[in-house]
Amino acid sequence: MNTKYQLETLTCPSCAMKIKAALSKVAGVESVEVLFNASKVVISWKKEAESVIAMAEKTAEETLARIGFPIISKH
Amino acid sequence: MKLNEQNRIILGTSFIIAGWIGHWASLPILFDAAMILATVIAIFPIAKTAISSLRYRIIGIDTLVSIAVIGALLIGETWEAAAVSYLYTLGHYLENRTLKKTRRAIASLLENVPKRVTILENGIQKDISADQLKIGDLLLVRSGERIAADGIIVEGSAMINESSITGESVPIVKNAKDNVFSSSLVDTGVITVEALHIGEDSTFGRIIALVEEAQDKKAKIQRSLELFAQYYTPGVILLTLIVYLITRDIRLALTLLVISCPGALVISAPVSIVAGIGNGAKNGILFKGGDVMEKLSSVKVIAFDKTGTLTTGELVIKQVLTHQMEENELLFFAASLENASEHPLAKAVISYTMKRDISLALAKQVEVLPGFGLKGNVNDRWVVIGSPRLFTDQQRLSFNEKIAELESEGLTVIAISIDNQIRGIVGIADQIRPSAKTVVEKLKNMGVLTVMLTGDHPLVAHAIAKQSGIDEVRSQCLPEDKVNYLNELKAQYGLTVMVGDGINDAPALANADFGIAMGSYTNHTAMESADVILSSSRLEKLPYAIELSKATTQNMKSNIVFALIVAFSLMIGVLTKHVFLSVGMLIHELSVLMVIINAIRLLQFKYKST
Repeated sequence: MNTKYQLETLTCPSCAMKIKAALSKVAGVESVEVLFNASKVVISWKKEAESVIAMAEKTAEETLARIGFPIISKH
Repeated sequence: MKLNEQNRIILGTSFIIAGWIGHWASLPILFDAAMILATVIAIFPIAKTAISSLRYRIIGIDTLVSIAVIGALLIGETWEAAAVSYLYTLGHYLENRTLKKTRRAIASLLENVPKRVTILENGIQKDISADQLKIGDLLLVRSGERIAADGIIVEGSAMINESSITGESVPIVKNAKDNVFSSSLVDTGVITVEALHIGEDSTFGRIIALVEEAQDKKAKIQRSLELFAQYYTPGVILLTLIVYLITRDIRLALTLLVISCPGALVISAPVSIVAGIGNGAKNGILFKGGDVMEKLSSVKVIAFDKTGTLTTGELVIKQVLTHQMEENELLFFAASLENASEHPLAKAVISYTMKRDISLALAKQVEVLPGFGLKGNVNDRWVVIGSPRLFTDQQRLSFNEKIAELESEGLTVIAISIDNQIRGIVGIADQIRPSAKTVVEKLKNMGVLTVMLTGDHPLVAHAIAKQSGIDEVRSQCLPEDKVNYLNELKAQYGLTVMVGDGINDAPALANADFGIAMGSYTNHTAMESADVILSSSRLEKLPYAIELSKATTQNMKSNIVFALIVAFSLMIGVLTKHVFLSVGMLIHELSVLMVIINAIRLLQFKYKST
């Protein structure tokens, strides 16, 4: 299961690495892919996270906001 | 005044100037005070994100720069601290602005979709946001407006420019019951359109989704680069510690921190790819990713489908020969029978006959002879139409020579017999595209082997091959033969690309390891299976696609090499103590800018048509 977020335009070269590192530490995250040019981030969740997906997503969203990448929309 | 990046830069510049004035006026206190102020103004937001990142135990460039700047302040290097934080902020600001340029081409595609639309609700006009549009809504579209959905015209007629979908910029007339596409521009006229496919489900929505996805599909070269960058930063931090423990040189250690993020390297490939794909999208070429451009740049063989690709696919009757019968009478019988068939050859005969104002009769007892032709009863006479091989040598007698002659000219020949006697033959040509010859020549000049794969008769195939200058021909191919030939070519020469219109050759396109579909933004299957999609049937886009792929790959490689050289030289410079904090930061930021500016050149790339 995946969640895709549209972020504000990503411009700094190192921010992709930062987002990846921060989200990878959120509970239930299997892998994180940062689409630099499209300014999107795709989180794929572990099986066990699916039952509590709303909570897991909330944590991810808070993490993104806290490291300075506000979410524009969720797909 | 709110302190945004721009204001911080202005303030920082003022303080640095004030500091140097103080220095020349021999006022060291003013110098230090001004430099510290400049540092604080610039470093504040950097340190803030650094601290928030640290909470997640992430060490990013902001953390390292903050440590270096604070360190410099602690050892009394106020100018270095100011310079490093100022240059970092300025660099970041300029990078943002230039990066936006690399994405401009793709962003501008979205401008083809209207943000607001007018719908008719019980005959009353209502202005709504395009997001609120539903399937079945009636859209009112006036001159100068773009259509917001795929749909069907229910009322009105208009001249419509569909260049964003078909690549053809000549407006076409559309009337009630005609299909229209989202993003098309109504040139003149007013139409009411029933929305059938909206948003991402519309043709243009799919194009956008495809481009969006493509811009982040990584080139092969990029993956190894990312791995390198991933280990580079921790590696340099470790080196910093070791160097400090051995030399106890705090300045050297701080400088190492400043250069430990290979910024130019990280974005070297993505900026080239986004610019390359953007250029393609603007010119009606969709590449499905950086990896696709990388591959296409090293193409060795291009295999063309014949019908609809090298030729226009519009069959035209070139010659009618009769025996003891008027031409119009022969055409009457032929077209009346063919009217029962859907075959492209039949359509050619019918349209040719209709142009002569001959009205057709209804054929009875029609029977299809698979692979050969048709037979049936027209006005109580038995008519058989089909391949000359359908008839005996004796029946063909008076036409045998003519049949061979027409076939050697590349015409497909059909014979018509009435009451068991051949009364005439028709030579039908599939016309070669006007640009085919120059395109094939261009490809050959690029060192690409050109091949034609067709299910057609060898004589016809060779005639088309000769006209277009194609190197190799494989005729009478069944769909599975095409796939086998493609594999053979690949094994013998290297990367083989199949080019087709996505209609006649869907299996070959899907099975080839690299497919280019022409004129198929409206063809869902081709959009999915091909690696590169050309919006129009203009063959000239093919060499452009290859040249653009080459330019993009080249641009990406030069960026990577440049970034590696800079990272390496910086390291040497720092370790040999030729590069100190501010200079290190300056070179680092300049290298990132250079890489972006180099990529922007791709947006200006144009194919030399000569």
